[in-house]
Amino acid sequence: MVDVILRFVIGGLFVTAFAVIGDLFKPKTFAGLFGAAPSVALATLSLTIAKDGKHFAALEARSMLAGAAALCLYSLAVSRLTMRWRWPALRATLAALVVWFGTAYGLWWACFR
Amino acid sequence: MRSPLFSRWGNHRHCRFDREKVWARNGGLFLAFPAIFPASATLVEKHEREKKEEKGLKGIERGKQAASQDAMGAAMGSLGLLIFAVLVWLLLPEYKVVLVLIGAGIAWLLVSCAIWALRQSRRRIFHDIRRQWGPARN
Repeated sequence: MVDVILRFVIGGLFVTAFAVIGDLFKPKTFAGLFGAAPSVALATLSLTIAKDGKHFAALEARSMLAGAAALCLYSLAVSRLTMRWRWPALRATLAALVVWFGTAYGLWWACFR
Repeated sequence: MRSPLFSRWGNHRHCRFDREKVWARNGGLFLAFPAIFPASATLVEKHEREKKEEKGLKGIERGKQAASQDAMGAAMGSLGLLIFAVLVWLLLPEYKVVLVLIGAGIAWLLVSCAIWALRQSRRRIFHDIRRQWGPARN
């Protein structure tokens, strides 16, 4: 239980910090960089290293490659859906999750299984 | 000859390790999950729309444009995230944890900013070329 609470607190702190930093910058494309900041990764990896060791965390980081590639395609899909197809941001971001799951698990299946 | 008990313990230990490995491989995917992105993109869209509407203009299109630009920034940032993951994966078993995490974080920032700057300069160059050589406007 303490572990879960720690995850929430540390993860929340990292995410909030990067969100605040992102808000400080303009233009929007530059501020958007912080939408893909390694906030969750830093928090989770720190806790994983403390609990399960460096090698386990390194293995997690390896499969994070597939997640990051999926995030890139996901963001491009959201950009396309809002700009070209004129979808509202909420609908676009939720619909594009299919792209994230498809790419992440596809790459994981092909490369890291 | 190995005793059945020892053999079973060995298998059990092996299975547990395999299960952990599978979890690490699977769970690692979610280190790059767009958990807060839907909320932040929706907020960006809303703020831009409200800003325009305060001036008495229709802000729906501007809001969508802002969300789209935010997402494009996130796409560039995720390329930096790829480098972050590679560095952590390769260097973590060998070097000090703090050094690796700080180094990988700095690498993320540098790579993301470099890609953003490259895109901006390319856009500027294409804009200049189009203005100079494109069809004349009257």
